[in-house]
Amino acid sequence: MRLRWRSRGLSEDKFGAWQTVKFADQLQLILSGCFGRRGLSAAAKDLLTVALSVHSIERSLTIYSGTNRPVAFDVRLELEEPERWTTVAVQHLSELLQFQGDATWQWTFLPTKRATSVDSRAVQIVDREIDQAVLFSGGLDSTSGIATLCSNANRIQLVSHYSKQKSDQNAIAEKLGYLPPIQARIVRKELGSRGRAFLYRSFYFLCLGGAAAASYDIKSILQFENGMLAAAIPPAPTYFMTRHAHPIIHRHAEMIFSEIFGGTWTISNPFLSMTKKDAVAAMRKAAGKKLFDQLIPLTETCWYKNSNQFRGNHAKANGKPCGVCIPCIVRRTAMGISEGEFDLEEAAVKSDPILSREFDAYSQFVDWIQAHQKTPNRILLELPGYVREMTRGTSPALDRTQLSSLLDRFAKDFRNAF
Amino acid sequence: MGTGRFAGSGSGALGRGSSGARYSSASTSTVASGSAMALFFGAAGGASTQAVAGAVVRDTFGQRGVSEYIYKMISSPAVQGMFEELFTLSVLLLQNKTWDAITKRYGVPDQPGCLAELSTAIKRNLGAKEPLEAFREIAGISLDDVLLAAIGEDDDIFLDGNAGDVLNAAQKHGTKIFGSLSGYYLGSVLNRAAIREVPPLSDQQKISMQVASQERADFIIRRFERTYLSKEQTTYRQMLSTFQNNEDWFRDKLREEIPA
Repeated sequence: MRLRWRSRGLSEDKFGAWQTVKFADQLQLILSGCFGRRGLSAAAKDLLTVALSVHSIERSLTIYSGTNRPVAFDVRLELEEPERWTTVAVQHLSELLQFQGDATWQWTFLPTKRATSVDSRAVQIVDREIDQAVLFSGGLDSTSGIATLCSNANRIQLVSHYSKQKSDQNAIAEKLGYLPPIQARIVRKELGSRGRAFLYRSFYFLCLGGAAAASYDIKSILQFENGMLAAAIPPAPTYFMTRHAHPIIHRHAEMIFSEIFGGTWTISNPFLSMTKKDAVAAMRKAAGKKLFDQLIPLTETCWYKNSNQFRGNHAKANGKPCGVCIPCIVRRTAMGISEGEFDLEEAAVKSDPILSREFDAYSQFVDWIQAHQKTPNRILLELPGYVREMTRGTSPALDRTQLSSLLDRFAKDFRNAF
Repeated sequence: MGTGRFAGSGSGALGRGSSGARYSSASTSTVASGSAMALFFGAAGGASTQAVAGAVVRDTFGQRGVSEYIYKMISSPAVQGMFEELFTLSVLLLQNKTWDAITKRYGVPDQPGCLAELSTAIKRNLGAKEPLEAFREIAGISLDDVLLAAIGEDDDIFLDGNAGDVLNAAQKHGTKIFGSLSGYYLGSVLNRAAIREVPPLSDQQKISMQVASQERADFIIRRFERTYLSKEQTTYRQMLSTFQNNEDWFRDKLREEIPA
């Protein structure tokens, strides 16, 4: 079973050479945990194979492409039931990926007899009824989310991807009264893994949720992400934010899952109108102070956590958050305290142009939000089209008043934290 | 799921690294000529004088990768298409007393927020022809910049006004804007592209960059007038396609010194 792909850069007229990946030998998704009585169908395996392929392709890209970033991908992938990938499904897949990564994706699906892309030997099939599958990373937002739902824990299946946070995910789930999450990890061999942009990673997370939900014969997935990051609001025009929980992604994923599995799927983010501080407050209220204090140290953040250095050769302890990247800054707006290697309240950190880069961007952004508090329409008109798009229509994902309120609260949280 | 990563970088030309913005910081700048960037974004509060902003714009566009990117951008069907639509809209908004012609052409009825809806309709139509989001975004926001200028920068009319509000405002403010449409549009396109290539800007720096981008646009248009306008029936409407057909010329003009 193979994946073949090639890409074309912005400065190139032609695609590069085909790359071939052999599933099982070079690339595999390892699943464990409890799936519903329908198990892992061929449709679910195929969906996971598509997601695994996208994730792996992104990981194989060069770490810095200069002005020649990939803008087009051509993928040929073997699946057990390629006929399920209707024109509509492929169209939504391509649009979803284009929105996430600003590149076009051309897909050709070919038949194979048996999928070897997913190792499900550690999966248990259980006879259990649930209402929802909930994506759970072990970060602050998803922990807050499952805390708010813990009174209904026995009707929820958590779904997680892990690299090094498997035991923390299990511990959080257990403390909140959940059964262990379905947990997935990716094994890649001899494929290179330089790509670190992770523009597409959340598509894989959503597909994990889809496969899990389908096994329980339900069509509802929750993904908890605070509104600032879910809406992918950049602190400055120069930033390309990941669209990992944007409503546009959810709508496309719903359409893909509906085509692949049948029925009408819904993917929701109950935290879309909340700041991270709001989400944490919801966790504190739902879990109580004692449990809250136990959960917080288990939640993780940071782009650089598993690295012994930050940009510009700034040494840091491996396993410790940096304190200065965007996830760390946004987390600090919620927690109000310094938890990282570098403290942005220290003059030496604040004056370092590399360490303070994201902080400076948010600081300018927050100043601008607060300066235009009385003219929210001006703010809206300066935001990217995909943010404005959320506010359109008769039932917008977030109306203009909600968006304006979200930005105001974020600005206030930021200024309170720094 | 939880805290997803950001690309954290690169909505503009200079690619997307693993983390952090891909422009160089002022103190280690390899982007722009270092000195202009350092002055503009320097630790001592930034010397946001207009001359420095002009140097930042010139140095930014002067980089090989960026000038190639800007050339691709002005060749984009979205950027060229919006320009073309603005010529059409200048007639529909200034010469017509009713919204009917706009409804007929774009399918946007007279309703609160009809100008924003019109803008969205144009973006959707032309955006479908451009795969790159950055080009779509720059084209779209430049369209909005011109339309907003044409109604006297009234955000509320743009987002919530009905056809009467829009047409009244356009009659009042639009003649000047649409009379210099090439300049306004190219100025906006260059400004929106430039600010994607530099560190985050303060309000004052944004204004300086906007003025500097407009100066660059005006300079390019003056050179276009001298070299191409009225020759072989070339009009302002063909300005962007003329740039597209003359890549070396256009890229030279992005980095050429503007005479005092």
